[in-house]
Amino acid sequence: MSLLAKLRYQFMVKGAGAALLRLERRRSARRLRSRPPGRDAPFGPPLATSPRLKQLIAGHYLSGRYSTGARPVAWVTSGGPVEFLVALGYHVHYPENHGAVCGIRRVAERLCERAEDAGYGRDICSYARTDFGTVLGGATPVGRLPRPDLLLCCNNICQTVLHWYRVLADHYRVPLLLIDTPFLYRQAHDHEVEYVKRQLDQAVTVAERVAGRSLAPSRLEQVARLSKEAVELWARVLAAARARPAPISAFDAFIHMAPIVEMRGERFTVEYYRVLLDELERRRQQGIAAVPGESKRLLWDNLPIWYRVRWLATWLAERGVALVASTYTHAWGELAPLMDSRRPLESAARVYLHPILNRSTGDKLRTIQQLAGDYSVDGVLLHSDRSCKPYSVGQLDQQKLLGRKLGIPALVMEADHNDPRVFSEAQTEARLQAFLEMLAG
Amino acid sequence: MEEQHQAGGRVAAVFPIHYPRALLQAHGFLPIEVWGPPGTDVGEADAHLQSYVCDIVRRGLGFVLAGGLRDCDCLLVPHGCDSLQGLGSILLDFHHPGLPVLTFYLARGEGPAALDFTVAELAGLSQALADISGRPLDEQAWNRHLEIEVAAEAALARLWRERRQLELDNAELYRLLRCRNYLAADRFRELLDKVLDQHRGAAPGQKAILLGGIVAEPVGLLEVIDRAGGLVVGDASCNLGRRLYRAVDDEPDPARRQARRLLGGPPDATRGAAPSRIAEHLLEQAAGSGARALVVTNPKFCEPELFVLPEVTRLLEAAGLRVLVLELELSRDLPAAAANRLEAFLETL
Repeated sequence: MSLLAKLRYQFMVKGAGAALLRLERRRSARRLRSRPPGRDAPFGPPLATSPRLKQLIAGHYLSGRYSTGARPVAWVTSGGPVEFLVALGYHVHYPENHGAVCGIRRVAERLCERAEDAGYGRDICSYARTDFGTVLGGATPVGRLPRPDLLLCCNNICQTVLHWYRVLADHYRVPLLLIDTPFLYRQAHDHEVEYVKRQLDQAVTVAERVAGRSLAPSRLEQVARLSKEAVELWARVLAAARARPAPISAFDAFIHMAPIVEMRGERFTVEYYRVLLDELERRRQQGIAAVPGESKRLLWDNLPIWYRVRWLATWLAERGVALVASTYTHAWGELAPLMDSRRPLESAARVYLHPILNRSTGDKLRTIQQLAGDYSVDGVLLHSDRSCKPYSVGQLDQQKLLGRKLGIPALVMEADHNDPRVFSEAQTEARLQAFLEMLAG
Repeated sequence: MEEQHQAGGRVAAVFPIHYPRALLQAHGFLPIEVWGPPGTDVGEADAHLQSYVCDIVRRGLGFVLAGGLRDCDCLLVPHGCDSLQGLGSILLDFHHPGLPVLTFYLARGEGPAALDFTVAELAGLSQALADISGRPLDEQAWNRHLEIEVAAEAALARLWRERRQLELDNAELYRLLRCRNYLAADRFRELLDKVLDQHRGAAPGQKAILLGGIVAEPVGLLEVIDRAGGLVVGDASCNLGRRLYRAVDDEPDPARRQARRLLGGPPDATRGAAPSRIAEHLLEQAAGSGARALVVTNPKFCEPELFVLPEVTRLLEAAGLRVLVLELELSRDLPAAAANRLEAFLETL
């Protein structure tokens, strides 16, 4: 770490950058308030919290941009146990979140092609290809990514991340911390929890060495408490959509989940979700709907189709359909009861073993069933995501069982979360149309 | 299988890749591996798996659903990749194929934590096998079977050392080697010894190559190599070469020995090895065998292989080892385009 880099970080991120982002937030908020009613049809009024979200995300990438040399940087998988890194002062970068940003901004295809030119096949995860494309020099909408000092890979979402991070470790020649989380075909056994716990202990030692400082137990407890608080608030944010009409849609949640994924353990994340929750409560009391005239309610399974989020949201809303819940966003809220900030590493071992993608296909079906009941949905959209086998394998059976045994109609939609070349708008539209007609009876 | 049952033993069908073969045998189970059997009707499997799942998993499920395991006493699905994970999960949760389905998680980590975890995982599997057989584990038998496995692997290593003095063509050689997927280790070793004694002579091909990837299929691949004068002098595939584990002679406890063997195998993309380590290992293998090129054959959609191949290829070619990667469907004959590429590649050696 260099003094010059630290001074530059303080000025650009904490000083001038923060001031500019605050200013931009106020401007955006003013613009939102001055929009005439009905301008956002077929949607309800946009969430007033959105400018604050933009400020957080922009601030996060700004911090990353100036972190090199000023603070240690870790690249982390989206399901990774991040609390000890935050407590050690790392800037944490999530290639998957960055991939989603590239997907929404429609640059993922170009980055994927760049990775493919370097030999990476189209049959590997499109997030990974987006990341490799960026690493190989492709332009990203966030400007510049910080070079990692450390990589943390937790395979509780897929084995893909392990292969992906091995490539990154060879490329950057930095330590790779692997938190290997055995897949839970059934309930977790003691030896599985113990295995994860021991790896976490070892990971802390390496992360301390790279950061050049020791982990203070009190700071870790504080971060773990903030993390748990944010996760609980996020779960309440999602639960707000149980109301009829839903004041927030799953499409909104896909966007507003960014802080819970990449800024867990920070006080500003807790504050952000408090503000969002307050707004949702007001909207619920005032009967403000995410989709005015909500007539049908659907549940989403799997990652979003990032490059068509807006299109799909509009298409459904125009037909009075609200997407009110998703297994994907739910995954970042459902584990709050397992989190114990007084025993941060012990409880982390259990928490990070249990994401939905590390549990069996039968367990996922039970989660869908539970959500379908809690959110009073009329049907389920199962996104068969070519780039995510752990999420997708099992969906064909889940679809049949949802329909036949549980009486919940479900549609399987073929797509990819970040590669638009395997998405057919016409086919998707035709299938959705038929599905909605079937729901209408 | 009939012999095994007549002798009072049991049969375990096993999906790829890494699993404790000696433990199964110690419990009286003959492991017979299911690598997407040819001639399987996959129509039923297509109703349960998406089109982007690999042939090994798709054909394997088709085989299970078509009653292919009716003479087996259990099915073991080791955790080899996301698709095999999904397969194990849907078999346990949704399909219930009429025989016990067991799983085994291969640790991707390293060091004492991974070793202790694997020992505990083996204990869980052992208990499940004991529940099926009704007999407790005989630890002496486990040690004995570990020795037999080590001896079979030593015989395999000898075969590769003496490959140029074996007058078997590549197709014949692989018919012999693939017996490892279903014969007991002692029977396999006897067969190898017999072949090593009876087929002395100059090997038919001259252009020495390594075969890598997941599995050397379809068989037409080997016939093309034969016709083009290629000689496979080493195997680095998941099916064979990546399962030549270390002997671990210094470990008296069979559970720890089995665990150390499993964790100490050659670098393998499916267990999360770094591309640089894989390349280093392949270069050593090429240097030891005199191979001038590597031919990689993978089923489509094999993510672990697809991630490492660009960097592995770059490193190997920089070191002077030529590489050809073929993506093949196990269910089909070797496509003409792939055969042409292979022939052209071998001509350039």
